[in-house]
Amino acid sequence: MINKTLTYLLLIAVGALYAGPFLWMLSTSFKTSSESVADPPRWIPVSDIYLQQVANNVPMSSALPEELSRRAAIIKGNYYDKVLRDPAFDFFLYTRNTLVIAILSTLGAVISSSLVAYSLAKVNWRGKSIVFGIVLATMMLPFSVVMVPQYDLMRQFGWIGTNLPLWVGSWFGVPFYIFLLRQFYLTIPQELSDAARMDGCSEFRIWWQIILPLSRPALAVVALFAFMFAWRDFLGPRNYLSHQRTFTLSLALEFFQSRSGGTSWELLMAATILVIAPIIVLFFLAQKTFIQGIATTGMKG
Amino acid sequence: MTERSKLRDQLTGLAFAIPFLIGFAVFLAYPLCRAAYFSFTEYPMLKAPIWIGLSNFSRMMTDPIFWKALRNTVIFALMSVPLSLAVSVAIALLINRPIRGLAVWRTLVFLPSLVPTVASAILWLWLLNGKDGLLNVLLKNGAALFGMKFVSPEWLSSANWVLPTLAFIGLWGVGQTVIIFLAGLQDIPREMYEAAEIDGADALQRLRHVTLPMLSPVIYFNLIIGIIGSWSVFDMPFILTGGGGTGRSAYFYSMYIRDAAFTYSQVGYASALASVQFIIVAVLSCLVIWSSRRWVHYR
Amino acid sequence: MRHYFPKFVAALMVLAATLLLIFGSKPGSFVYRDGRPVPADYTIVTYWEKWSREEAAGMQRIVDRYNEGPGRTKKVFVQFVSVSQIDQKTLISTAGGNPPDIAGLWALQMGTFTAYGALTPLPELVNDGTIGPDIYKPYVWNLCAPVSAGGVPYAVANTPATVALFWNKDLFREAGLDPEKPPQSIAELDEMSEKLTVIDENGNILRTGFLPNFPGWWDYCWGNFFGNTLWDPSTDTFHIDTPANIQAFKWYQGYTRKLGTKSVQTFDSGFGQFASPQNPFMSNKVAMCLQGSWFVNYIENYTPRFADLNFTELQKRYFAGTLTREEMDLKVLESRDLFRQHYGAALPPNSFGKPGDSLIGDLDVWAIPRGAKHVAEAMDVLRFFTQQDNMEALCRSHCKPSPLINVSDEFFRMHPSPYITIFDDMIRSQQVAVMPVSPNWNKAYDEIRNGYRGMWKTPESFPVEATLKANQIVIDGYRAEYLRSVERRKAATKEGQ
Repeated sequence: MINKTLTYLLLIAVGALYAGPFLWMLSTSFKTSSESVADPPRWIPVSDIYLQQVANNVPMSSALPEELSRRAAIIKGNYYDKVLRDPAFDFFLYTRNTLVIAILSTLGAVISSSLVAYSLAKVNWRGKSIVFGIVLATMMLPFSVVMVPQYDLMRQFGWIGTNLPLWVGSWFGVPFYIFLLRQFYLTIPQELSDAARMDGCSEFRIWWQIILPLSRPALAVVALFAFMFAWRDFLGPRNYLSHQRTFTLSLALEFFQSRSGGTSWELLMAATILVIAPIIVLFFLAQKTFIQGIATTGMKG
Repeated sequence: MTERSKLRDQLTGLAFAIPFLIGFAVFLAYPLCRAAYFSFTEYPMLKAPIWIGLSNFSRMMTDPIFWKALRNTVIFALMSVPLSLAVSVAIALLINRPIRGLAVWRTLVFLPSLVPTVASAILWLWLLNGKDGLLNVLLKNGAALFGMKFVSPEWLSSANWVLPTLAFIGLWGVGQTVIIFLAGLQDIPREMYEAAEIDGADALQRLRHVTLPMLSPVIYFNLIIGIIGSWSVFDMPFILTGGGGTGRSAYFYSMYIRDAAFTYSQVGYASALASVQFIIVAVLSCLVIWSSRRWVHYR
Repeated sequence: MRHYFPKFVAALMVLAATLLLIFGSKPGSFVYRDGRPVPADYTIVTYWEKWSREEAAGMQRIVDRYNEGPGRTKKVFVQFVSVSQIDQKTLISTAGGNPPDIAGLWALQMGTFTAYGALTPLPELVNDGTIGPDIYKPYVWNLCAPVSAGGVPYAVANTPATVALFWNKDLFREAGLDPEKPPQSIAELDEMSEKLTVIDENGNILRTGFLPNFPGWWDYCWGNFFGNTLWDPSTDTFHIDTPANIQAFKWYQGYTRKLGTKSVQTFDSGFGQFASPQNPFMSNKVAMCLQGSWFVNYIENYTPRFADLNFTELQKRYFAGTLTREEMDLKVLESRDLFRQHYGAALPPNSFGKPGDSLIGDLDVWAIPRGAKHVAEAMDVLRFFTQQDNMEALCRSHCKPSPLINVSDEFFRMHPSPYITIFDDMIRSQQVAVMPVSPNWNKAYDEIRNGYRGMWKTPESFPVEATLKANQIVIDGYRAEYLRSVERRKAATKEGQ
């Protein structure tokens, strides 16, 4: 019993630490610009008028609905009028741009990485340990080492200002995902593919008809990782996208933080919530598959 | 196995791996070779590179900013890597227990790693604000409860506090690591705990003799990823410290590479910096891999 | 293995994605303000600008004038985009061969941008009389055709910035000071600041008369008010480690020491955003500060007393047709009177002479990056922007003086700032310090900024002499390195020939 209480106490503490800043973000997005910088800060967004009414003993039944409708108007103002309808921040265009990159790079990463992983896990050929070594080595390359020379390469291709540098690479296999999938494929019994080979299946068909259906949870993990990465990526779009109509969501968020210090907190937070909401829903619904997927890949090094 | 099927295996294996090999050659090996070449040149982005031999490297030796960035990066890595590993394992252990609302807790811990860096950095900037930042208000009120007076440090502008603060903020984004540990924990067979219990091991002993050894491959994996990640750290400190902190106290190696290339237009020097980083990280990884034989347990 | 990805989630995602891909706005489709599409055969001139919000809106109006007027006959459409970190993005896109046709930069970047070879020279615009020494005020022209670039014109002047001392007259009255008498010297500034400063019984600062690091935009210039010349254009040298600069930064640091490091830190970390009612000047936390003429707009936008009188709002209503020109003019005059009652602006004081003997300024410019696709069209657009009527409309909406020598009476009479003549006189003055348009400015500035940040925040670990000396050595090093690289390049081209 004590054990259980302790567990939940700890959980609540951890939850508060992790959710706290997030709740603050949510609460701020419900405020007006002056409320958002009020001193001392208020967790629950209520207006001064309401607080005054409460202090003056105005009955709840009239004060509260009034405050609620006021709040609803503010929320609509922040989320709809000032973010979604902001002419300088074309939310749907950026969502579209982000989606194009995220979908293309996710598809590419899943297909190509699983092909490569299959070859490294299930096919016997000379040189595969060398290739696996290269996979491990590239996985260990910090991004800042390759950032500048890759930029130079994309410049040679004439790809600066297009979204090509942001997704083409993932069609050639992503080392981290190759590694994950290889570990997973190793757990699939060899007999399955051997039997298919006896029946005269080509390797491609074995991969497509036997291995892929068996590895859905692992593929889901890779897909989610790849999608999330593309959705959040900031440095890549920052380096490669220069024209505003090609911007992604996370890059466009910068508009709400102006250089001369005119950040509207409430709008930045509202925009952020709009940007992350789809991904949160996705994770919440998929988290079980997700964790089991990782568990089955087993990071056994 | 016949000669024919051997040949077939050889060809299909290679064919399946060929996309990766091409990608590696085009997107990594070739640029890296060019970077290695550039590191011996002077190369303003808009002009042609000129060969200058080892000048970039000798300049680095006397460049105080290089040493400062290197020092900051190493100190930060030494603080943040073990800290986030320990915290991630602890949280993973906690949410691996039989609890209600599992999905909610997992999502909660993972939530911060979904927030775009720009937004979370700005959020923290605000939470840590010296006067009425939420954290300081909470700490002050907390201290007052115990009749103490709390004087908040300058979290982000004091040269002594900024690196620990950044490491602490980094903990907010360990969701992905936690999830990987969680998966590792679920992979440990129940029987091992049962056997340990029969042997009379208490909770702490089970942690020490079952959980941690069984988890060690995952720890190893995350350690390497963490070390490499700490060398690429950029967005968060960049925004939080306004580009490097008081007296460059939070100026990191990756910031210097980026500044050299894109702000000062010195692609040659930036490439030299990157080459040195490449060597350092390679040596570090080899060290970890070498040491892993002593502490990583495979089933 | 039945833990598939929930099917309906996947289906939903695919549906949403498809809908967005099909119906979301398409990149590459341009529209006029009123939503009419731009005809397909028009040339699109891309124009990046660093401004956002009200200032961007002011510029957008001039762009619209072009698009609706000459743009129609010439089949050109200017696409105006506000871009953050414009310098870096312009450089990166220029290197990538895909730059905008017009970039709104800061004059201070002219040195580095021309040294990198990132800009198109504009002698054509001098020849046709669009820009030149007889069109721009001298200070402005010097920045458009910088000495460091051999006097070649690389930029078209946009809005200029000169800096004055603003003070809050109400707080002066409260402190028993004459609200019409701003400080005449640095010593007097310090003295008045002390009288205006309010500290509570716990030692917390509630208000200061003056705080040198607010807003901190021209910290590298403090030495100028003590007789230093930060940058010598003829030799491209920076003067950091000079007695005047040392004196300046001792004075600067003196504020932290006098008020206490800890208290100052707590005080200024509580400052709100610059463009908000929590701006310390607007919230009465700081009584005097250095600012440009646009500060009037900011104060009026974020102080309740001007709610009905601020120029931004008036202009909005005027362009929406709910306010006639006469009504707007009357309101502008009214707001100028109100502003004058509560706030003052005067020539900045210095340590060695009368106010105005040392001045600092800045300038926004338009440039055409190298490799821009539509140079001729871009030049035509810049010609239009530089016309006196358009220039004055822009400067008025930004509440700034005009860069042109010729200024209409109307401009001064109806300018939203009651103090506009002070700013206009300042740009005409010979005393404005030459801004460091040096090829090494980017690096030098990073160095200087690190120094003064340290000197302000932790004076104990950043003694003035040592910090400035270190700065000087590093910056001289940058210069030597730059000269070496120029030599190397010369040698390489000779060899190539």
